[in-house]
Amino acid sequence: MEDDDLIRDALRDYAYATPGTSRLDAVRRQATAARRRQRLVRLATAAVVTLVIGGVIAWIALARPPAAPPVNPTPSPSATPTPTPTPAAGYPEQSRASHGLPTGGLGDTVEGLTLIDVEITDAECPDATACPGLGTLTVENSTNEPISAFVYFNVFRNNTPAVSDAQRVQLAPGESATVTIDVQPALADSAPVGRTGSIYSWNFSVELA
Amino acid sequence: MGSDEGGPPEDFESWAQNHWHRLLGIARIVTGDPTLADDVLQDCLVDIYQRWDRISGEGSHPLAYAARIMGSKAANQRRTAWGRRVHVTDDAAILDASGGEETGSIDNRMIVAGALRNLSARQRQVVAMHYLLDMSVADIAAELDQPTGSVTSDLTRARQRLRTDLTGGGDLAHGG
Repeated sequence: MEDDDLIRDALRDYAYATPGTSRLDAVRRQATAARRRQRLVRLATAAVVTLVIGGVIAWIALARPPAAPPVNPTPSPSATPTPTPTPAAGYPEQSRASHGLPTGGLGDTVEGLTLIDVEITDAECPDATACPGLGTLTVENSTNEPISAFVYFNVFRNNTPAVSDAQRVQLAPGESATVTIDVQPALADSAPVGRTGSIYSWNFSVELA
Repeated sequence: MGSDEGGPPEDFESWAQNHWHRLLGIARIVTGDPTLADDVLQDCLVDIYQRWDRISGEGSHPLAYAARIMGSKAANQRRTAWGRRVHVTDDAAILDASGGEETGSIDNRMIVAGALRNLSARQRQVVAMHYLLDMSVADIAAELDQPTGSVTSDLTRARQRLRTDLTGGGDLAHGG
C-alpha cells in the first residue's frame, strides 16, 4: 500500500509538474476548422452522390432501346394501293346544285338533315393517279320530325357534275346516321383522269322520300 | 455529473479551464511524453468540444471520457513517424520545462517518464484513470468497455512494473 502511495505521488508529480503549451483558444480554432472541414466533406460527398445518381439515371435513359417501329408488310407489286383517307378539306366544296336538288357542305342543313362529318377516300383512277373514291357522310336529323330521305354524294370535275350517288336514311329527331357512297367505278368509267389532271369538288344533297 | 464534481452541467470552456491541469496530467501519463501530451490533449479537446452536448450529459464523466480518447489518440500519434521523432525529445522537454527546480525532482520525473515508456498504451491509460482520476477498476472497465478482469490485469502489471522501475533504480524521493 505504501508502494501504491509512492507510485501515486510520483505519477502526480510527473503529471502536474509544469504547465503545458496547449491553449484553449487553439482548441477552439482547431475545432472550428475541423467543423468547416467536416461540412466541406459533407457537401462534396452530397455533390458526388448527386452526380453519380444523376449520371446513372441519364445512362439508363440513354441506354434504353428506342421503341421498335411498327413492322409494315412489304406490299406486293400487284396489290391494289390501299385507299388513303383524305379529309374533305382536301377537296373543295361545290356550291352548284346537282340535278336540281338543294345542296350544302359540311355543317349545312339541307331538308332537315345536317352534315356533321364527311370523309373522302382516294381511289385509283385508270390513269394510275388518285381520284375521289368513297364518300362517308354523317348526317343528323335536326328537326322534330322523323325524316326519310336519300342522301346524295355529288362529285364535280372542273365545276361540272361528274358523278352522284345516294343512299337512303330514316332518322328519328336528333338521330344521326353514316352513309358510305362509292363513286369510284362510275367516275372511272366517265372520265379516267386523276386529281393531277383535274380539279374535283363535292357537295351533298337531300331528296325527301 | 457533467462537471465531474457532481454540480450542475458546465459549458465546455468552463469545464476545460477548470480541469485544464488535470487534463494535461492525464495526457502526460497516457502518452508518457510531455511534448506529445500537449498535442494529444489539444486533439482530444477538439473532439470533446464537438461532442460536448453528448459528453456533458447527466451521469457522464467527461474526464474519464477524455482519458479514453487520449489513449487512442496517443496510440495513433505514436504510429506516425512524427510521433516517433517527437518521442526522443521528451527527456529534454522535462529538463527545459523544469528550470529552477530541485535536481532531485527533475531526476524523479525522468525516472517516471522512463517507467511510463515501459508500459503499454493500455496500461498507461488504466494507470492515469486509476491514479489521477481515482477511478475504481469497475468504473475504468465500464468507461473502456472492457472486462473487469482485463483492467485488473493491466493495472496489476503496470503497478508491478512501475514499482520495479521507480524503486529498483535507486530511492525515489517523494515529490509533489
